[in-house]
Amino acid sequence: MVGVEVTEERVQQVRDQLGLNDPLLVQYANFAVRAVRLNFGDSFWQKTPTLPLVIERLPATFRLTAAAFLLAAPLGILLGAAAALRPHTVLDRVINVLSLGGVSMVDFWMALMLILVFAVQLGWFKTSGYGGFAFMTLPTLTLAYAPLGRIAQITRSAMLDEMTQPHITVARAKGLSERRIVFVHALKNAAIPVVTISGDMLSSMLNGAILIETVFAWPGIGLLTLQALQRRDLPLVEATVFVIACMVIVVNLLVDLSYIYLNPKIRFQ
Amino acid sequence: MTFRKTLTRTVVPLAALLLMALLAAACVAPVDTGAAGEMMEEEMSVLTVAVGQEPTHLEATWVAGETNCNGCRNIMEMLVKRNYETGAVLPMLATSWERLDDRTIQFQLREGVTFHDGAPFNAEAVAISINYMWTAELSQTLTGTIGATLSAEVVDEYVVNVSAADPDQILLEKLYFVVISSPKQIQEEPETYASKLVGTGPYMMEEWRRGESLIMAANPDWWGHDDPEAAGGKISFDKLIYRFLPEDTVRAAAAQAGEVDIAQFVTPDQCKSAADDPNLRCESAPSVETMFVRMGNQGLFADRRVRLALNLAIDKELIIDTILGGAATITGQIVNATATGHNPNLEPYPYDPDEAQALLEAAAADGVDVGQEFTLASRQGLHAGHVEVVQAVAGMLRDVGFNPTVAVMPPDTFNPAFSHNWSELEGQPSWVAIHLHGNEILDVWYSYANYFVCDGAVSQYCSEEMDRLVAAGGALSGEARDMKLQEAGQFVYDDIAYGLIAHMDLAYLVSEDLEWEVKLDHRLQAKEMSPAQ
Repeated sequence: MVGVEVTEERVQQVRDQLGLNDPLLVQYANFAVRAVRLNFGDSFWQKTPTLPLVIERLPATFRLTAAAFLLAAPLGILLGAAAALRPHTVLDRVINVLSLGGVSMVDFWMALMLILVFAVQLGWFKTSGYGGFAFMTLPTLTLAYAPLGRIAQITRSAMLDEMTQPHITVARAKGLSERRIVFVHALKNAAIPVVTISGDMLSSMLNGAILIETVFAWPGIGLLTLQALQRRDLPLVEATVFVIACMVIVVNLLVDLSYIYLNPKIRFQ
Repeated sequence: MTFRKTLTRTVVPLAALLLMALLAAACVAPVDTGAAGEMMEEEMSVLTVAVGQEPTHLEATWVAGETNCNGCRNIMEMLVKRNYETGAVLPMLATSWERLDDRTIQFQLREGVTFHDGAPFNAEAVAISINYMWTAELSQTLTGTIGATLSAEVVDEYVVNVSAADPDQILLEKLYFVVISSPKQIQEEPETYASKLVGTGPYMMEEWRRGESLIMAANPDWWGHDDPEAAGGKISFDKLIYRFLPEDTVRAAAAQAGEVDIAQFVTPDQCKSAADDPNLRCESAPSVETMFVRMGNQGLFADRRVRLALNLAIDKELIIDTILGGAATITGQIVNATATGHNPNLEPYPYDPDEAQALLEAAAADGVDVGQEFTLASRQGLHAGHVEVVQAVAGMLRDVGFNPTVAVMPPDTFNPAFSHNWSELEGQPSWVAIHLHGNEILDVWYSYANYFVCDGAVSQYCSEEMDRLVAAGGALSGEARDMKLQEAGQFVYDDIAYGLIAHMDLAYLVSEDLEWEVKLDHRLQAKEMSPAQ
């Protein structure tokens, strides 16, 4: 912060400015008071207030997360449901392998492979950078694959349980169409664990996909967090953690509220 | 209804919906991307360069090191420039100079030059800019970089005296690192000094997109239009985009995909892959960068046998052949042959692990705790494959009986932790740092004064004899200086003051559509580049 060649006087001056000479409890109280006012101080690195720096990066993260989630959640549910409807068939096994791949694959490696194949060899998309469809497709696919696999696995498991329930047998006996049975009766009842895991996945995507944003040079909150950590920029780290925590709270709230819609019994309990 | 029908009626519409959602998410993006393709207007010529590091800030003092601030010398200029083939110091913003005494040089300045913000370039501007660098509370001082504290004084409108606080025979060479900022910015908008560069260069700073790129536009009023030879090049592009791509694989991929014209610091393997690509070539050239091990003569390394063992334990040839792909030259000193004070008689220390082991055993028998744990530290992102080099060195040291722990960290963490004089660290555990040292002043005094004298800013080494030799060499000029500094080089070599690895070549992937010859200083200056004919 003050360079290598610096006088002891200057070091003390900076320590005073940062409040580092105060007792720990006083430092914590000062931090808490500032945090309540949404004032996390100036970035050591960029010399400007931290919260605007974080908010400046949010649109990039929102865009990437929205695209990845819109890809991962419906497709994961669809694949999981399809696998559950035809258990132990070729389709089920293919979906299992795909979903397992999503959960297991190292996203850093996948990102590089996608770049080499789709950007360098085929030239369909851009290797990196921030922008429209050509720029965001590869990071979106990379970011979406792991949640897609996880959601597909959970959906399959929940649907397998649900499809053996007596009310499904009754529905079939009443002559309801298979589509209505699956999407109205079975999937809605199986939705709670799926929504829960989807909420978790959305939160983790909003946290900032540090590796993915670094590889694709996508200027979102993940890249900013990494840069702040590398530079030991504590005010900036505090601001990013605060913003991320707020987003996670909102997502969790939405997930909890959706339970009421998915299972009205919860409202009465 | 059959399962097939269920899928057909649900999957297809859902898939279409997903695709539309993805497209919609993409379409809300700003069209301007910061990347070459979409930013380029039809009639504009744009140069796009992929660099490994984003600047920490844009204080003008930071521009001195190109790796700190890639491309910034397109915006900022100095009083003098250097010819790295001959080592000669040449006119730039100054047209001539005269040394008044051992501390002061008087410069006659170029007339008709203006800063990007319209402020006139004159003696007052130079004085304000230089004095501000040493009086303002900036993140980065130049004293650590050039080993001098400078000040400037106006003589008349186009004559200025620049002085060093102490006698300095290479003051002129050091001014290659002192860029001149707009006095208007310093006086009227000092708060922008860390985030905006305002100079006199061929390109004007347009925007710093944090995490993304640095964008510059051609300066229509550049003084170099009238005198390209003195300016060291010409403007060939309307716009420059320096993209920050920290992963070398991605930088190389961006060049292969044609998204960038230059990918900085690629690996030898990536260079080889360019041989099959008709649109790319690999430009690999020697640099002033030398990889060396800074262990000094304190703590564990107070014993000369231990220091020699460290050097004998490192298989430099293996490192160069395997990790560095042959793109380096084993060295026996910290500077290459272009520098004043380079001693041609210093051969690299040989690789002899058996002898290293024997030396450590002998030292241990005399009570030296050779098995003590120490940190082997280095900075991230110095060049492609650097982390692997540090790990290889650690393995080789372990093989002969040392006990290192590797710690490779980003600059902002490494610098405060390992940029200290030995006296500040007395009593603390020993550590060793692997550096990439670039002596762009082309004078070995600068290296020795920092690393190998008792009060050197980052010296882990202290010897009265070395202090005497460096002080004597620093006070001389011409051939006498060269000979005295060679003597100092022989002394630190014999006393094993440091571990030596190699002079580095640095490589780039360059578009065949671009003409550019990499020079020893490896500055990415667009005025030295032009579209291929």
